[in-house]
Amino acid sequence: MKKGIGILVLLVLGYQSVYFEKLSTRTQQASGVQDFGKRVEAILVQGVLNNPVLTEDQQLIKELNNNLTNTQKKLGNRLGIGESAYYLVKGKARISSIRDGYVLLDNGSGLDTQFIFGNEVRDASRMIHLEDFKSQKDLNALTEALNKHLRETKIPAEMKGIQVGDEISYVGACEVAPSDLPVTSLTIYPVEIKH
Amino acid sequence: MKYIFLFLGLFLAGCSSKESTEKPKIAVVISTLNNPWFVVLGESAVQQAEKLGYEAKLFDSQNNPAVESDHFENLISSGFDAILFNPTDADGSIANILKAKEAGIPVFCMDREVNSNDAATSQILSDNYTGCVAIGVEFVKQLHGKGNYVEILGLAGDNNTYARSNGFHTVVDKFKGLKLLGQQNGDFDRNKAMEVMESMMQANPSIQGVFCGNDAMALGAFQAIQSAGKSEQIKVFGFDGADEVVQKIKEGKIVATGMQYPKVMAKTAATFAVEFFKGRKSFPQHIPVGVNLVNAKTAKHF
Repeated sequence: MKKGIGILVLLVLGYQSVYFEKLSTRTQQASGVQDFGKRVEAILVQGVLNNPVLTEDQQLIKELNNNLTNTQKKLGNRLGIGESAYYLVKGKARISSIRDGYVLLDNGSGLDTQFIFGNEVRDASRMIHLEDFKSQKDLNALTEALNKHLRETKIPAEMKGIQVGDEISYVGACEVAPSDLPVTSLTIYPVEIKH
Repeated sequence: MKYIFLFLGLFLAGCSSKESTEKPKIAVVISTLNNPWFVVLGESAVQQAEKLGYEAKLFDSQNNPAVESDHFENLISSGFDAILFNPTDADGSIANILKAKEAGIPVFCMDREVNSNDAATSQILSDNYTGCVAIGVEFVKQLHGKGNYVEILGLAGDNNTYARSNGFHTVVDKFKGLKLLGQQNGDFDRNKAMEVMESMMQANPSIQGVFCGNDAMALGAFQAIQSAGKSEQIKVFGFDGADEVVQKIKEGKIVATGMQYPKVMAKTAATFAVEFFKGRKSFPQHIPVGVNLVNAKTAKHF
């Protein structure tokens, strides 16, 4: 009887002393990967595509050259401290060339579909606030989740079948610093490409 | 009896008068003053605090957590009212911050992050990750997405070392044509990086690029590469924005670096301390300070 109770106690203690978790969950946590799916969607839909500060690219260039400080306040955004700001832009143009993922447009600007790695879309969307993040690591993880979705899924799908000479409409984000003045063209990190 | 009350009254009035007229004192505690970059950070913080009308004193932790701990003990007992802090250790320094917090002294971290979300009042940090994302993009473009490379990391266990390497690899690892042949710590030290680069070149004669976690190491690596007669073959990338490296970028000897702004971090930390004295109690836990890419095209602006 005593032996039976002892075994039972050992079994209960043994069960309570370990915690079972799916290996995939553990791997995800260890690599710092979090599920930002809903947040990414909100940034793209509310923060970019339906954002009232979305400006025609030629209009933005005009305003930047006219008064950078006012344009930064009115249309730009940036998390933290820095001299440049990020802007939301939209436009329509014909494709002059496509080389190494860089789509050159006939208005002089270009869509960089290959190097969507920076803070352009995140900051221009105005959807992210520093107070929401306890560590830089979490903020960087969200940035990469957003960029990865655009770079590896959304933009490649939208670029399918698009060729030199096509007329496209686009929405995206760009960075402008005081040293870029006078601005003659923009490098845009795309969020949406349609033709 | 009335003289006793008069004396007590004068004594108490004197005490309260001293408290209300004495300006708060700010301590600036820096991990090491052996490195010119940290000297700029520390001296700028003192200057900013003084410019804002406060007494400030600089402390050197000599990269030694024990010395740092002694500084905290002393400055808490000496009545400092705020600490602008560049920690020696991401984990080890947390206990010191908590001691200050317990004594009601706000701590504003500069440049180096501690692994706690609620110890420091705020952490004002270079955006190392994004800065090195930009370096990574430049690296891929300069090597046309293919070739062999090595990496010289900073200090093991240091958050900036991790953030820089992580930002760089976020980009570079996506390009399968780029092959990492070796990764070693150079401890942010020029001489050590030179030795590391020498041994990595001996082991791998086909290196075409090297990413270094700071500019001191980039200069050490460049020295080794130049001595080996491989400066045409191996492209060097650094991080910090040191004058010597910016000059070498202009001369076409080093490809790129990330420009950090220690004076901006120091100014922000000092301003936050003053705002705290004036009643502000809520600060973002992390404030990233932008890092600019310096390459052949942009070097003229720096």
